Amino acid sequence: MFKYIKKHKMMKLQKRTLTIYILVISLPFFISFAILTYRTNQTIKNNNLDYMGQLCEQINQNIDQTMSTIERLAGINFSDQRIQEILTEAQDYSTAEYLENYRRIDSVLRYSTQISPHVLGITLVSLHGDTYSNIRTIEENLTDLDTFLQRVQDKNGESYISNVYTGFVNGKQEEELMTLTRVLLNPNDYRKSGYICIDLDYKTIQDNFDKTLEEERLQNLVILQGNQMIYQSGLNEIYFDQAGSDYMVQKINAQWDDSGINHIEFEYENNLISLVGIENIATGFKVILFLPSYSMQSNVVDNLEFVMWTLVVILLVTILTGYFLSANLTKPINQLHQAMKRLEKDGEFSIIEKNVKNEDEINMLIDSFNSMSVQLEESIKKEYRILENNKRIEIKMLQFQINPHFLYNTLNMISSIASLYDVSEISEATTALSDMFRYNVKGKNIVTLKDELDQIENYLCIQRLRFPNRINYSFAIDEQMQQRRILKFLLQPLVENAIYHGIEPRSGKGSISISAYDLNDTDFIVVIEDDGIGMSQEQIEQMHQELAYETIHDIVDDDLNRLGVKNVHYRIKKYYGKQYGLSMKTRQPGGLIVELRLPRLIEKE
Amino acid sequence: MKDDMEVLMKSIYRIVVFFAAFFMIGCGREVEVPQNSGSEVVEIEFFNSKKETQEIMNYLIGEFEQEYPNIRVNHNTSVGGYQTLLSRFASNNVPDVFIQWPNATWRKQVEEGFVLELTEYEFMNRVDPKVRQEYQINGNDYILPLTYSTSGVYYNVDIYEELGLTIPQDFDALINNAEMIERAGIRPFLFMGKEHLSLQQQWYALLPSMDNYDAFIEASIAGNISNYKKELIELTQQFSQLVSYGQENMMQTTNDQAVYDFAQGKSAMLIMGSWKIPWIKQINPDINFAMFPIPKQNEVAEYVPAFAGDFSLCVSSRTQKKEAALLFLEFISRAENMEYFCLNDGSVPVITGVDVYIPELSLHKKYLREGKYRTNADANWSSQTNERLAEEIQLLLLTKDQDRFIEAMIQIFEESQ
Repeated sequence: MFKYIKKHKMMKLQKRTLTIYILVISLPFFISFAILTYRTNQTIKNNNLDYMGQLCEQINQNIDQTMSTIERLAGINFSDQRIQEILTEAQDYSTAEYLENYRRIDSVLRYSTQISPHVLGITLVSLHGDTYSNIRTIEENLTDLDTFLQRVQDKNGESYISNVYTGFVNGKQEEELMTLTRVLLNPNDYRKSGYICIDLDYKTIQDNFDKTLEEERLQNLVILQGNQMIYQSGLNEIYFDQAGSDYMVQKINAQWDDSGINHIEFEYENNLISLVGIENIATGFKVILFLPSYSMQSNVVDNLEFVMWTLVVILLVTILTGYFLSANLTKPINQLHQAMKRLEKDGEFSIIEKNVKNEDEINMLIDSFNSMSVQLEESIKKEYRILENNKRIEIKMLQFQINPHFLYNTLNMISSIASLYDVSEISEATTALSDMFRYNVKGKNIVTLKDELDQIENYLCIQRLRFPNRINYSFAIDEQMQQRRILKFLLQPLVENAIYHGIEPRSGKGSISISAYDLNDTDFIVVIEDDGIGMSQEQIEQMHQELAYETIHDIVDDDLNRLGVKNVHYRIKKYYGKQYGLSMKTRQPGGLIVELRLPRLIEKE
Repeated sequence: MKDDMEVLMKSIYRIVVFFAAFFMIGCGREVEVPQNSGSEVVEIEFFNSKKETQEIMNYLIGEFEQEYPNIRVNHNTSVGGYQTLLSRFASNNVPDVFIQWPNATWRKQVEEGFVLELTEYEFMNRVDPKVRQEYQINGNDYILPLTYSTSGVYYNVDIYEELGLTIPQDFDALINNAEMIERAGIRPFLFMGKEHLSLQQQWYALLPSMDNYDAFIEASIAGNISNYKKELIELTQQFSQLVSYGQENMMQTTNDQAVYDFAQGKSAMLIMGSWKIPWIKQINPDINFAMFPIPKQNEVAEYVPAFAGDFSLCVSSRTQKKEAALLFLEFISRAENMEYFCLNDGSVPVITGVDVYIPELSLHKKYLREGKYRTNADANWSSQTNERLAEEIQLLLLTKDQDRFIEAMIQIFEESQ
């Protein structure tokens, strides 16, 4: 069990969904089916027994009706006045009148017998003991009558119906008979005038049972009388032989209750027989309809078979639907899972194709995953670039990390020695360099434009030693403008850029001029102009694109040329805001103009 | 081309088969088996007013239903069934197949169009041509006569042998035998005085032994028998003579009682029809008895009374199940079935090619085979005439007034016109 549950926990979503789905569908199905089977079984049994009870009642009523109809119809002609007289008169057999009387009664007997197919014949017995009969035609056949007459006298006016017995009809054929006997009353004075014995053909009564069964599409009817089974239908599912019928009679009589409908059950040949029976008072017939248990079960099976097949078909359809539904549901999840696995294992970013028909949660998840993938990929690339740039900058920074005080003191010492030995170039250069170091190491980050211009002079002093007679320079900046405050070391990289990328590649002299002017009340412009080789329009556009990056870290490997220029731009942007910075344009007739847009920052000081 | 040939050959084959079938039918019409869709069962009613044949017919019906599973025969028998049959005609509710005696009543039924014509059916060829011709109406068949019944004197062979008696060769010898038997303390004859129609059968048995019988019958049909007074007186005297050897309480004796008593050996002789043979054997299987024809006054019997068609079948002209009904007639009239019927019924077959040995009937059978028989007189007269005659015979038995009886007879026939 636990193993199964563990296994279940490890199942894939599709299998799990499908399993749960099938369980959810089939469990109620089987439980309902079991309950249905049980209840149907009970209902069918009860219905069957109720129905059988009704039929027993009906057969019972039919018997009563048949008997009373026979009695009424067969007896009706004998209330004739003349016949009543003949019956009450003593007969003189030697007269013609006797013949006439006899023939009169004989013809009435003949017609009365024809009234009902059940009537074999009729016998009249007068109070004087004369018998008139069209069935008991030999004396030997009259013996039973004495018993019947005795019985009917005990019945106090009621009819007496004999048990089924074998008798002679017209002295010849042996027939199964029942005899209904009653007293004949004179309709005028209600005095007894004789007896009428109606002999019934039991075969035709059996035929009636057969017909009833056929009409009602019934079977399993038996009729008991006393200790005899006098009828069992040929349609019965079980045939009771003599021993079987004796056993049944014994079982029924033992449990029989005279009032109303009897429900009796007993085992017979490994079958449970349920039966319903009622006793017909007039004839003493026990009308019994029985049902063997296997027949009942087959009834139930017949009833449930259709339901079962319907449910099985529904279940199959449901399972199939479930399979496709779960497959449909888990397919994108599986895709997502695979993509995540690839991402996890190989770091591969893949875009999942989604089902455009649906805009469900799963598709939303895929959307999110796809956009997350894209962003993550970009972010990782960016991070990678930042890391690399940082490393380069770090290395460059390290390259510059020499103790500035040591350099500064060394330079002062070299300058003193050069003065001592009167080497003016060395002295100028080292003094300039020393000033630059001091400017770099000491002081604040924000300086005046004049301070910056002083450092440019120092720097150009050194460069002019390096490139003798090649560099001219001029500053066109009035006093007021010279007091504008700017970030330290903004101009030096630009001048360096003009020398290395503008003037040095060209032949002959070059010149650099720096000017400044107020752009408006808030901003001012510093212009660094050279007449070097300049930059092509494409290069300028490329440079402007790179300057459009947010920070210097965004600059890719190849863009590290003119790093100082770019550094100036980013420092300005970072310090003053996005609207400030550096721009380039071609100078006519040749060279480059670099403009710095800066705020007028008096108050900040 | 090949297909065309096939179609042509098939057409020729069909035409040949059609004509072959047509000519085969021309030989005599076969009854067609009803074609029912599925398992639908056709039920025909067979009205049997000869209740004594009930069990024999039950057996044959069983065989029939086995051969034709989709036909069911409702075998309707009842006491006094013939009266019921007549009332069924009156109410226009004629059974599909019914037993009918080829008598005056039957002729009336044919005239009224109640009975189906059977002339063209093959099974009619099985009937003895002489008998068939006798019952044809305007050359057409309306009835299938199957058996002869005959009448005469049942005699107890053991008693005869014991008393050293022989079969009487004339009427006096018969009376002499009766005398010898009575002296031996045995009842010579039994009469069925309680039932006038049965008593009448005993009287009819005597009729063919009268002189000028054929002329008398013709005169009776014409309604004037006064010219045959002499013969009638002789006949009545003979009958009265026989009655004088009958039992004392004959007015209390029914047909059944008389037969029962004869079977039990309570009488040496009984004037009766052959149809009671099986029953007598059933009551007393040990009885040794036989039949002889009632002799004429001075010689042996010239004819025996017989009824060709004592068991005859007719079909209602209005039946909805004609085919099934005709199949039933075809089946019953088959030689093997008639043999079974006659052996068990004690009758002689009218169907040719069937020979049944009934030792009790051997004398009569010889007469019948030689055509020496006269049809029962009652077949010529209406049921009303027969009924009135029966009443007069019963009265004769009670009153012994022969003159009154003869006058009454003359009057009955006069009034029958």
